Amino acid sequence: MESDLTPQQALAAAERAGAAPYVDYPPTPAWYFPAVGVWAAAMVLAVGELADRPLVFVPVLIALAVAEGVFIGWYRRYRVTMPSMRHVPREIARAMVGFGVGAVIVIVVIAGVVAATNSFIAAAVTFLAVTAGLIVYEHRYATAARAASERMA
Amino acid sequence: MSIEDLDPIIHAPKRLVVMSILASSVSSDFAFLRQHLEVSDSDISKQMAVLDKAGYVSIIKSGRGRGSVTRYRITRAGRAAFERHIAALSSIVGKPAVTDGAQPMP
Repeated sequence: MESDLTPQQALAAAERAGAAPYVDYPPTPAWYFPAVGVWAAAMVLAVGELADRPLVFVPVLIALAVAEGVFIGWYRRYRVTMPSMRHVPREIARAMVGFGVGAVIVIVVIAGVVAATNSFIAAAVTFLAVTAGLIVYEHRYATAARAASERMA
Repeated sequence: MSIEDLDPIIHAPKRLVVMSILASSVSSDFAFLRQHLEVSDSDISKQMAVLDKAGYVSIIKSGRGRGSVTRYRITRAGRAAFERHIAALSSIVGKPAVTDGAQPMP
């Protein structure tokens, strides 16, 4: 590394380094996508079928919350350097906005399916939509990360 | 903002890289910093000791022996100093500094 940098070089180095937590991450395991799909489907099923039976519903909700907590803990250890959502490279910010829009669409679709059919069909749709949505987001995030790395190279 | 506003501790290129990584992460570990700095373990330790002494980073150690992990987190004072430093650099080159939010620095 240079022993001294011009202000322009220093700013470029700071930008590259600041992007590192976003663009340098371990591969997402293949089980992650269906696992989150199963979790979301279980949540829809629990709310749809068990909400009127609190003695069963509450322990199921707690179990789902614990499972989520265990997963988040594992992912933080796996990823090591978690982005803080500050200094987000613009390419990745666009992918994140797309994720937010996609999530709203999926929630609206699932709510529509719940209203029009039953919890079991809604759970199946949830599994498919969440799994597919996460696969699409993963692909878009990876593309954005590559684009950000290339821009700053 | 001018050249006098540059922080002498952060101005060193290796420490600038470390502070940039920590400013955009929840925390980072020794291995990640080493990978991005491409320097020896002892050099990283030296740089981190300077930042720690300045109160710019906090050190979190977990585990024992071979499985132990050392993590670093930017402090509030460190973030403020980093943002002032980036603003001063941006001012020198005549660019607006964006040190937070959904856009990268210049």
